[in-house]
Amino acid sequence: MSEISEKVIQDIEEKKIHPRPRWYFLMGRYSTFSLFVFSIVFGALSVATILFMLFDYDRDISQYFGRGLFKDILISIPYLWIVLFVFFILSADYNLRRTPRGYRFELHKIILLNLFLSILVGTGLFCFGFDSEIDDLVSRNVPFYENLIYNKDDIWVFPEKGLLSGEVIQIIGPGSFTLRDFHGYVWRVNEEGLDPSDFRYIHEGAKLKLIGEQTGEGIFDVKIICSWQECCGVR
Amino acid sequence: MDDKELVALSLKEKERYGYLMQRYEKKLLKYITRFSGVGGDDAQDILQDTFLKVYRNLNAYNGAFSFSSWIYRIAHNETIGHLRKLKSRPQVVNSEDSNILIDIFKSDPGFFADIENQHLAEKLGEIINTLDSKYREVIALVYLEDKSYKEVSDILKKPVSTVGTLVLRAKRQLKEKIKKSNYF
Repeated sequence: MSEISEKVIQDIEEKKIHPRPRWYFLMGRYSTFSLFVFSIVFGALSVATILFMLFDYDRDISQYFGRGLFKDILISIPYLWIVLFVFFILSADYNLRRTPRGYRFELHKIILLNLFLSILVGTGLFCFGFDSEIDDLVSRNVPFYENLIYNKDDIWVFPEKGLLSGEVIQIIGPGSFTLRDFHGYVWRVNEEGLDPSDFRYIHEGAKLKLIGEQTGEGIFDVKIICSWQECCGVR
Repeated sequence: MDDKELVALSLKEKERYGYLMQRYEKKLLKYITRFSGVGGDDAQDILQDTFLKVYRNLNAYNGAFSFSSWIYRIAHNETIGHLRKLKSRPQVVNSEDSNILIDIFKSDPGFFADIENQHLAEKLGEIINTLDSKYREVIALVYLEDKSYKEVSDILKKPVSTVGTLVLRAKRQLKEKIKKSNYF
């Protein structure tokens, strides 16, 4: 044995050096791979929420606020989720490159792969209706989230502009019902101006969007009505 | 007995690790000397640290990869770490290597055909040592260590296509520097 090899063996014996256990390295590998998968999943959730917000935005009510199309588009872009999506894509790239074979892929291929996976899964979640669930879940659990995104609830509780939304509490009789708006205020809604085919929307517990006119303190005359999920606009 | 079997044996009996070290000692010492520009005791210290690190991390070796590339990567990183401590630049090529490189590059059409070899041989080492470090690394590994692009990819942890691009750019930069140095 050569001098260097002897020295190394001597060092190993004297300093009682042992090979690190296999689980130590396996844990590192699995945690990196898990972080990659985690990033893809959260990237996909971001895509689903971005799609939800883009499709959920009521462009046809912008006229009630006197905004132009350009300003309207700027308002509707879910910046927070786009930033999160970019973050998760970069995190997925970083973690994939740290997997045992990750360095063999070129950067642009990794980015394309991650984009593809996130968009594919995210679009799937959107199509299967999980998009609003994510937004609801984050709204309930993340403080200040509502302040960081475009809030549909706020736009639709604007009675002085002719827009009102909330949950039907009680059908009073033919011609009116009571509704609690998303800020907790109770309204008496007169439905005389409605097309009879729109009555199907009105039942206790239904979440509705109304377009009409505030005619008094806590009184609203509705002209157009639709469910909370539908695009209402002007017919 | 192949490297994988020796790794498995070394994990059971540390004395067997000696065979693995013997197999790579000369190659790695040459590589470290060539890559760092340090010789003698310093190069041996780097090699010793490399072997200790390899032993500590034997379980990290993945049998799906070449052991040679794995141990070269550790030696490479140890050398860079050592140079960083010394705050010195790697010196890839010495005068002995210059002749090897000239012979290799002469077979490359249009590269060195008109060069006065004797003068260049004296200066090529100096010129290569002024290249960007990423280019010096690939020149040393591909031309002096005779590693394939795939092996270099495993050692430097870069995609094979990137290694190919780096070699091309390294040759281009080398050619430009040679032209500027008036050895044509």
